[in-house]
Amino acid sequence: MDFSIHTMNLISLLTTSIGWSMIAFLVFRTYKKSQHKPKVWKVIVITYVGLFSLSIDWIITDSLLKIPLLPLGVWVLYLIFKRKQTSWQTYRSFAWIGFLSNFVFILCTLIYIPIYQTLYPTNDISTFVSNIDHAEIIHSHPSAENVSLNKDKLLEQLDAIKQVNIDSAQWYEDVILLKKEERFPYLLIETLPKWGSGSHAVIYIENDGKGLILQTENKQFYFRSEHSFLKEGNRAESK
Amino acid sequence: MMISLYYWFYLANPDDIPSNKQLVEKMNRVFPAANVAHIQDKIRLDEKHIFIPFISSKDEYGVSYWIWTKHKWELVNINTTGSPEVWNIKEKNPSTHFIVWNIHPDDQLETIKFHLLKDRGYRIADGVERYHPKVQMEETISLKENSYGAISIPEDWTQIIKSYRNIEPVQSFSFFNHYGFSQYYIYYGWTSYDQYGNQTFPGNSVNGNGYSNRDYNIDFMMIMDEAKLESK
Repeated sequence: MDFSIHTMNLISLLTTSIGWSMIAFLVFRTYKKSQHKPKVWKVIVITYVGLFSLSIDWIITDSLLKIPLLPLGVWVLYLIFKRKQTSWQTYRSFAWIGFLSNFVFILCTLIYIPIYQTLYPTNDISTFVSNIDHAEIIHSHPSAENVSLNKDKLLEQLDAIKQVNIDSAQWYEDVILLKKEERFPYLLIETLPKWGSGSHAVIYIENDGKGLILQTENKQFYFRSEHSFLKEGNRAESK
Repeated sequence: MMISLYYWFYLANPDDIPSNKQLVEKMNRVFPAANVAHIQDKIRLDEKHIFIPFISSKDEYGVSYWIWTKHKWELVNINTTGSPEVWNIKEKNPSTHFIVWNIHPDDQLETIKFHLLKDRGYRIADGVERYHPKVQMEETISLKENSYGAISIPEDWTQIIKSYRNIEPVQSFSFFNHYGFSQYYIYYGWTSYDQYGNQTFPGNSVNGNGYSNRDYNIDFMMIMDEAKLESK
């Protein structure tokens, strides 16, 4: 995985940071109020252990929500500290802040989803392909022709490329039953997704030079342009 | 003191490659069934990895892999045949993946084609369609000069592998998953040809005996029938 700033999911990073800051703030406030000042590292450990819970996973629009049911971490801490009533009095609130953190993360995810979808809609190709300065094509199938990427044509059409439906069974049967050539014999590489989106995709190009299949971690999108963005000649590798 | 010991043990630059005599001795001691008689070459893939093809006293053409580790040259794999496979020096970095081979001259091969493959497929679930294009790329090498060789996998191949790695789910175990269907399932194959360009099965270069002593990372290369490949 390439962790450069250009390819990171900054919205996810940002909401996660906000979540942790909220938790840190809660811990800090409680610490200031508490009468016996415990050691700071103990507070951190207790809060962290408090976070552990039995939870159910719920996936909404590719985001995982962990809904906590039982505060296992808090119980474990209670068992450890129940003999020392005084220290449990001190630590209890931090343990519960840990458990509460699970809900902070759910809140963050619920804020994250609409923001991310608004900034980086999956029906807009520029989410996945926004910078093509270093773009190239790879001939990934023997039926590929001697063509290269026409960057100008791709760039000029980028705003107009439309998402359309995949006709997967038909394409498959075209090759297997009708002995047609592979429909997507090229790969588009070295493009950058929209800044901050972290929307990586493997991108195949259709043999007429007008279609793109984008394969992301768990989804596929198909886009069509009006004109071909491939041009004759200059095949990258000469054999 | 600890630091310098650590440095010496793990970081210090490798010594020179041992002499042929030392190499042969080590190989025959570690794996006597190899019967190593003659070292053909010592191909340094990088600072700390060497590929050493050899001929045995029973006229077998074998391969051995050596890694510089814990301040000595360690024999990590030895086999009495050298059908091609991919040695991944740094698993995460495809530019360090090498195809290595040693083919018996009796097989009378003139060229080998290596293939990077990914199967075509489609899926329709809950009204959502997916189509997975076929990937088939090849690289040809000649056996005219030497029975053996080592090349890093072609740049185009590394690009595809990197692209798929970028969309790989974080928790997946191995990228080259040889079992079950996966949209990330990329694999290697090879086909071999005689001097007239006819496909020939290299009977003397498969099914050897081997020994390996630790977790070095290789990817299998499947020997293929050319009829299974797609043409233009």
